[in-house]
Amino acid sequence: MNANGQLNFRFDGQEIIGYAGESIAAALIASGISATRLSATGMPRGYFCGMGVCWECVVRINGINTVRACRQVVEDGMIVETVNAAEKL
Amino acid sequence: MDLPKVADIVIIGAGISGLSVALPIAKAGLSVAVLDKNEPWSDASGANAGTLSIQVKRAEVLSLIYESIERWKRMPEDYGIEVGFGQPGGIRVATTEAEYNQLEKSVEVQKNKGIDVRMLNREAVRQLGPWLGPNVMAGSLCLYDSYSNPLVAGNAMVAGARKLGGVIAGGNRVSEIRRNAMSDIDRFSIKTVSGDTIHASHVVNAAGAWAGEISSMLGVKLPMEVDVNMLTVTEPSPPIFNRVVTHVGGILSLKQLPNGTCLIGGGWQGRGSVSSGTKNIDYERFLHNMRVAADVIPKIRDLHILRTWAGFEAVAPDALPIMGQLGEDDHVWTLGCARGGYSLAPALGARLAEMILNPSKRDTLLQFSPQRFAP
Amino acid sequence: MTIEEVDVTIIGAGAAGLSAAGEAARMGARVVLVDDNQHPGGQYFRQPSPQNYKCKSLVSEKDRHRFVQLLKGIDTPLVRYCPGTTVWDIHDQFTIGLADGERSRRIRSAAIVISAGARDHVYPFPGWTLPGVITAGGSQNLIKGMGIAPAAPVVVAGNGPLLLVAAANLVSVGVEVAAVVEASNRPWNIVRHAAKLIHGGSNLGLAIKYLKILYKSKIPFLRGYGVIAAYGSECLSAVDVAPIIRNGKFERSQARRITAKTMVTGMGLTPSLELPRLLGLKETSMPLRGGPNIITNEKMMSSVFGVFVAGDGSSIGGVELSLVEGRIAGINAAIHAGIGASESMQLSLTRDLSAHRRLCKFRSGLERVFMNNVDWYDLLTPETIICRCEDVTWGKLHKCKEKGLITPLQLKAATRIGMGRCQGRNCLGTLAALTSHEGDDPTKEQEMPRTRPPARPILLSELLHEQLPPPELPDDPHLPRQQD
Ligand SMILES: Cc1cc2nc3c(=O)[nH]c(=O)nc-3n(C[C@H](O)[C@H](O)[C@H](O)COP(=O)(O)OP(=O)(O)OC[C@H]3O[C@@H](n4cnc5c(N)ncnc54)[C@H](O)[C@@H]3O)c2cc1C
Ligand SMILES: Cc1cc2nc3c(=O)[nH]c(=O)nc-3n(C[C@H](O)[C@H](O)[C@H](O)COP(=O)(O)OP(=O)(O)OC[C@H]3O[C@@H](n4cnc5c(N)ncnc54)[C@H](O)[C@@H]3O)c2cc1C
Ligand code: FES
Repeated sequence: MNANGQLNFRFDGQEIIGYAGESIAAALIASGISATRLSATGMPRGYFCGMGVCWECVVRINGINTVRACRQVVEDGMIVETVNAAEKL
Repeated sequence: MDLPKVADIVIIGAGISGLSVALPIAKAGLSVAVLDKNEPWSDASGANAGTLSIQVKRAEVLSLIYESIERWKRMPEDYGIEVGFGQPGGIRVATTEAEYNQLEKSVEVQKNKGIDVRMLNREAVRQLGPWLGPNVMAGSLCLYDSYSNPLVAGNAMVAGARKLGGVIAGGNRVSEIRRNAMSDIDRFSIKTVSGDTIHASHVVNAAGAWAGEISSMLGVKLPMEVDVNMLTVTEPSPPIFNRVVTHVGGILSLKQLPNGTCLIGGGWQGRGSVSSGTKNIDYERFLHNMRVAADVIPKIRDLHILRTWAGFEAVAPDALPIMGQLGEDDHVWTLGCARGGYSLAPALGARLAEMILNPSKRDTLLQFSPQRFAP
Repeated sequence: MTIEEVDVTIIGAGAAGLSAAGEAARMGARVVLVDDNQHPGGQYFRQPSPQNYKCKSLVSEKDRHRFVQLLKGIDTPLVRYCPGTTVWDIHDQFTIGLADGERSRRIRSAAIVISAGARDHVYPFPGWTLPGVITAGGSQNLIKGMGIAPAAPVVVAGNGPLLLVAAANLVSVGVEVAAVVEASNRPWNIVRHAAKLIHGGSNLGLAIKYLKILYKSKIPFLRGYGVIAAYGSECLSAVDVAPIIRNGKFERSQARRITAKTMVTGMGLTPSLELPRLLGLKETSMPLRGGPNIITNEKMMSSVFGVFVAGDGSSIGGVELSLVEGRIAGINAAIHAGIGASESMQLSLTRDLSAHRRLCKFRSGLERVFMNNVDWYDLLTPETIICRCEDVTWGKLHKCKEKGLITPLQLKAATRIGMGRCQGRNCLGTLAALTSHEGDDPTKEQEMPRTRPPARPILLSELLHEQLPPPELPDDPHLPRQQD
């Protein structure tokens, strides 16, 4: 992270610039990315309610747990991935 | 729904017990009406975990559980219905020396009863389940352990029974059962709180946690207790584990369904009672339940919990099924109160249907008869 | 194992919760103030947090000052403020289960104030799931909270005052707004209900300011119109708007297309009811006020003794009303916890009660300005998604109906509607409305899926560290358990 708070993270492998204090969703929208999830039938979805209730913005971070992109603050080096609900067991 | 005036057989309770009797009876061509005070399948059967596990059963029911799982599996052929059945096999784990000894013993018992089950040492169990936690020191494997998704099975069994001409009528609370002397076809008048009456020549008490209440209406005392079991479901996740997992000592049942959600249960007790109608989560036991689960499969700790709930499970004092003729009258029957009743009901229901249809079958399975509690 | 004991627990640190905490502490009560956001302020007093704040600030001097005052009110040893902490359970009436991302714990108190706020209400329509279709709240959060503008051009469409606020804010920060589309078309109601609206005080000034911004911007303002469908493949590219005719239906033959990368929508707000429902608080239906509302008395106490509900989490009323209700609830909760009210507190309570009456008059005037008879369900097509988590379409629900599955519980079992991560927040209201006349007995209240813990999803790992007494394990796991 540099002096004006700029940092880098990855979304599905793509390098994205964010700023300290931004939510993942805000940083992605600022980079022109609005679809961050695939629904149960494979439709693209993304930021909707912006306040943590709809879970449309859900993404996986660092290969571990899911978070709401509108609530989670970006961190330098974070690995953010699309959650694919259509993927069946 | 409008009730018919008469039916050959009236079943009280549209859970797995009631419907498991209704399906074979309707298939045999008799008229059957299943009454439920709420929506069909809205009590234990709609709330349960759907685990069809052989390994956690009492020795006395091992001969039946095998048959029952076969019946679960055959529902598409037998009744043309899809019940969300899966047979991934199950691992029952031990985490202490004492549990290990207990596991060995129960595997012996199961083998003696002809069940195909085997012990797995630490290495073998981890090979089959690399997702198991470090505290798991051994396990047993039974490839017949299965599950059925209760959400899918409920609507399907109701539809299946209706297709065979059965009447499945929710919103009909039975409040009185009268025996009409002399008459053969309308031996019983069954009254509901809304004032409807239906006449029948056989009555089946399959009222789950309320079976005692129905029994009293028939003048028979049925000893039983009611547990309040808790269950938890997680968010969907990519595959974490692929077996039905149970525990020797820790009270646990764990499975991941095809939609990716994990069901965590095992029989930790919530709070409430049938008389008050409340069934709530017990905070501390819920946390214990989650801890046992995370101990056995550590990766599930990264999942979000979406919902917990509790349901009534009727249990006989000896935890064996109560099935057979109720009291003196050979036209009054009962089925339920089995620990693990969801797994056992298809076999018990089919056998009870046989008894009802065929007097020569009536002296089977006497070990489960309610007569065992007669004073 | 240790359960912390305090006088008052306040859930939500928005306008209502902050003022409740301040007043309760001023009375001398020991307060725990829990909020699942990282920053205090709730939906209105949003704090711009990022270093890269690209938009011009929208916070007025007055609000900046009020917010500072609210924060001062909780800056006392009597108030323990717990940010980033979710209330996921309430049991035994006053034991509250918390989780802070790392661990869980419990707090017990003599009184509870629920000030959990509201969320946007959006009726489903074709295309509403496309990325780029966002709520008014979502838009406000982006520009006010993050300083980031949504992709332009933007169409703002729906119903209610918040929509106009969102539109004016977009204009203020220089985002290209292609059209503002408002469903209600009764401008004369402003005159008719002027006597009520006059009580708005500063609300009135703000409303005029927002309308001026929109008027000066010369953006097309379609009254009596609605968006009937949104289009796009990977994300939104256009919307169709059509006039609404007398019977509340949409005149599709007069539809026209507007290019848009973002649609900001909402048909009003609806209270967040998961905690009240866990407690079984009595509700009443207020169609003009977000649907289900919590019944409270003049103390802001609910039907459960000692549980107070204030702000938009009880009934939609806006920020001014939330501030006043929070103060009333805070004082009364402290009194309930056994703390005597001084004369000056009594006096300020009397003042708040009269402010409350005034603001309620304004509210009912404002509600009538935006009143409409739109049949939003007229927009549904078989392909329209009702449940966003499980992708349950209107057509799928209809097919179930043909199979005789009609009640909410049957439909839930058959389709998984309401069972996803949002725990039914996006769809159960719609399901209730769509099934309300389908049962055997239309007058009978239909059974909806019950609210169960966790009130909001929590990570399983959050539950692993709290100190607990060792579990009582049964000797024979098969035998019936002992009940308490
Ligand atoms: C949370 C939980 C998890 C469980 N997990 C498992 C598991 O994984 N595997 C397993 O095998 N078993 C499990 N069980 C046990 C299993 O669910 C029950 O044994 C089984 O469902 C009982 O079925 P039933 O039909 O006898 O009772 P129910 O499903 O309870 O049906 C009885 C019906 O009778 C109706 N009724 C009652 N009184 C009247 C009246 N007066 N008039 C009309 N109708 C009436 C009720 O409304 C009810 O629908 C679990 C139980 C619970 C609660
Ligand atoms: C997006 C949006 C924008 C708005 N803009 C305006 C406006 O410009 N002008 C206006 O007059 N009104 C506006 N309103 C309405 C205004 O926000 C409310 O009237 C006011 O903020 C209500 O205050 P509150 O304290 O009731 O709720 P909120 O401010 O919403 O605060 C509730 C708080 O409770 C927290 N919470 C909820 N549940 C839990 C839980 N289980 N555990 C922990 N914390 C929880 C929430 O995270 C939130 O921080 C807006 C509303 C929304 C939703
Ligand atoms: S956008 Fe709704 S939860 Fe994030």
